Amino acid sequence: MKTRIKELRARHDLTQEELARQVGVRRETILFLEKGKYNPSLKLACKIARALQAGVEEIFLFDEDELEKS
Amino acid sequence: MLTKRERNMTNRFMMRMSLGAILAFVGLLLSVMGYNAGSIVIAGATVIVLAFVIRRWTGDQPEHDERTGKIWAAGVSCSWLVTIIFLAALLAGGYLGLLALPAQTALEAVAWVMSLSAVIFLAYFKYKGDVEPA
Repeated sequence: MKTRIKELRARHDLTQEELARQVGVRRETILFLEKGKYNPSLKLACKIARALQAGVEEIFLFDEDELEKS
Repeated sequence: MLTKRERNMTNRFMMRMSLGAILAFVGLLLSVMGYNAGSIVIAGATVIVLAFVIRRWTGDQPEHDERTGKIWAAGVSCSWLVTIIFLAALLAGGYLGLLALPAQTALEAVAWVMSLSAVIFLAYFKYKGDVEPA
């Protein structure tokens, strides 16, 4: 999984701490999300999408293979 | 004006402090009455120190979120599984006559295996970031 969180966060001039506070998680969770190491719940994905004013599918990018595997 | 999250954090800190203070007080009281209750005083002091450490470590962040919750649940589950396998091995060893541990030693071994495996699994999942492949 790849994410565009870092790019969109920079566009909105938000730090990891600020985004974490807005969506109610720890800063490390944003860090692991940006690295694509953590699969968020649908609720958290929606909260992040709302905070970054983008659609969930614009932020979290899956390859076809990855979707097929699971 | 405190937010709901800040109020919760303060409440949890106060609960830990109160628990520590009560334990330490009861330990001191029992010691004065002539009982050997030094360990209760130490436990109370430890809870108070931990309350400060957790407060400093978390800062203004939430103590837990969905990722840490998943990591905790998976770490504990794996630890239980390891402990059950260890218990089965102890039982099998006993039945086959390969080892004959006293009950106290067996209990201590189980407690150590459970605690250490939990710490190892939690550290591994924290390092990895998630409990499932991303």
